[in-house]
Amino acid sequence: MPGSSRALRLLAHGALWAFSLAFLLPLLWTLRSALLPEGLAYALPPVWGPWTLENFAQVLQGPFGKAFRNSLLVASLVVLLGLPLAAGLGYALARYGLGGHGLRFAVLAVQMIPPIVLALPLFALMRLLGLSGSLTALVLAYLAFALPFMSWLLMGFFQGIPRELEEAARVDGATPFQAFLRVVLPLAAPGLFAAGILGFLLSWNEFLFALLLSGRETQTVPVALSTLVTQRGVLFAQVAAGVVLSILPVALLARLVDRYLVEGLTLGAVK
Amino acid sequence: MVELKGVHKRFGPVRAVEGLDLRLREGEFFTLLGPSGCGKTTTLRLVAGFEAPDRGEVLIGGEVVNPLPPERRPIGMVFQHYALFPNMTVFGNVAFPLRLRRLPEGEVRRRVGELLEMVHLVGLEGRYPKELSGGQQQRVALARALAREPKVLLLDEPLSALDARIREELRGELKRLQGETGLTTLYVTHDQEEALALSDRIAVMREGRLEQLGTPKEVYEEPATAFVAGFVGSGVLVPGEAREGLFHRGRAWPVRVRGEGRGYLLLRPERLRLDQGGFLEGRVVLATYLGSLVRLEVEAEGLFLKVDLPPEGVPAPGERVRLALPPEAPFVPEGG
Repeated sequence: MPGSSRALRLLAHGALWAFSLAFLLPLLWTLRSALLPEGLAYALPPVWGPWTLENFAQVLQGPFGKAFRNSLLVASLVVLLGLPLAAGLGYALARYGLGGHGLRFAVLAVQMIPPIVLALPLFALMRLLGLSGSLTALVLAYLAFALPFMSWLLMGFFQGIPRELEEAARVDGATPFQAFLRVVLPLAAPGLFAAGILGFLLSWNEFLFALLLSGRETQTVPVALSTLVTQRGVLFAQVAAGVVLSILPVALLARLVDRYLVEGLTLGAVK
Repeated sequence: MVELKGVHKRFGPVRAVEGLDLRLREGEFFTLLGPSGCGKTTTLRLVAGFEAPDRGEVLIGGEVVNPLPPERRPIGMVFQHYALFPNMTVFGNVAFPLRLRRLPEGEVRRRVGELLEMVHLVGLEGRYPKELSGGQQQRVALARALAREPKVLLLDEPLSALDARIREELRGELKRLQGETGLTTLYVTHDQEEALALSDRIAVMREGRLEQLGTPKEVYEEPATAFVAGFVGSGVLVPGEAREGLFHRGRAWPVRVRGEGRGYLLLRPERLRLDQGGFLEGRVVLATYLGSLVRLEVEAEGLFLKVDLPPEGVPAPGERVRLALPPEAPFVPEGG
């Protein structure tokens, strides 16, 4: 029996390694391409050297550095503005049944609309408001999508917090807002982290609205990466370097809060 | 101290509380007792302010509190599942109501120290609720409820989630604390033993209505209705008639009763004895060992009577026995 259980464990580990590799392979390949000179990045048969950081330097000298700052600003603002609003809305949906099923459906329906349908109306609206080409336009557009998503995620999370805890806080002398602030929110921290990271990712990776609504000075990372597709061809190694750079902040953020993130995603999912 | 005047509460088609009138005396340990769904917890929540009555008034300290939210009522509450804040330590939990009142930190520390001493939890200040046993968690909940110095303490089945030994231990603690603090206490339970052991007075509820209000002795020994007789304590209701001070069932039984007319004689297991010259003859159908005693079920004259006996020399199932009836027993009139 011990022998067969060891074999099973080895088999399971083997399968997990295979799955992990399947997921990581594109990322590892991108990293390899980013570290090779432009001409060799997509050479056939594939080569494994000489290694260089030249592509990173090239990318950072171009519009990418500015785009990186823009993306960081836009995604951070979406999270900073969106999270308190989403927490409020999620809580109201979870505890008070705000708006009934109609509002819940509306919140969910926003996620079902293909972004392309809204692209032109949003573009027209931003022009009308005189915001076209500004970072404000991007923040507002992303908020419109991220807010319902974050609210929905947090709603599930708030539903998982026993109502008795809030009642206990009320009997202890807390107003409903104090109970929310001092008891519910700290307990929902994993959910808040999860919603924050996912809201950040949504804004960080978005391309369509960024292409339509941003200007020359307000390009975000995905748009800046697309400029590496030149008339002379695709600068594969630089695109790869840009992709690696664009992944870094999100990976760093996720690493910092991964414990809460996993807890938040799983708890929010089952409740 | 706490008064409910003609309180009604419905949840959709369900009438949770119907025309309830109660008055708790100052410093009294008052218990709402009844089965699930009888309205006892709703009544407690009406006093706490978590529910608003559809009709009627709730008064605390002579003041109508209907419009006041829970945080503005002079109450402390202990919940069935403790409701401790899992992200706060024992200290943080007990200090929570004090910090909400913006007391100076020194005062908070002093008060928390006193309260933890009162519930015998000194030394556990830094622990989180998940690091405590159920009994310890409930003590923290009690300390937190007392921190606000409430006029009324509300206890919602606080012992039901605990195992039997801890429950008994905490029962004594509760009684001691209530005696020390002199707090008017409204206790909700479905456990009649708990109610009898703790209460100054008990209100037995059924389907949103008050079935009987009295001291534990009155409720146990003089049940007003067949429901109370059946719910509080164990016993068998024997249908018959009270006539000229005696119970009759076909013939006169040697049991004195109060009242006249048709009704039920309540025979408690601890009041029946085995006796060679006993009035009833029967056959043992079941003997259940309960540790300190054995409960016999005896079939006699078409009735299944329960008899509690010391564990030694108990007749086996199938044996024929004679039962001696108590000289006096509660009689519940029919329709009561």
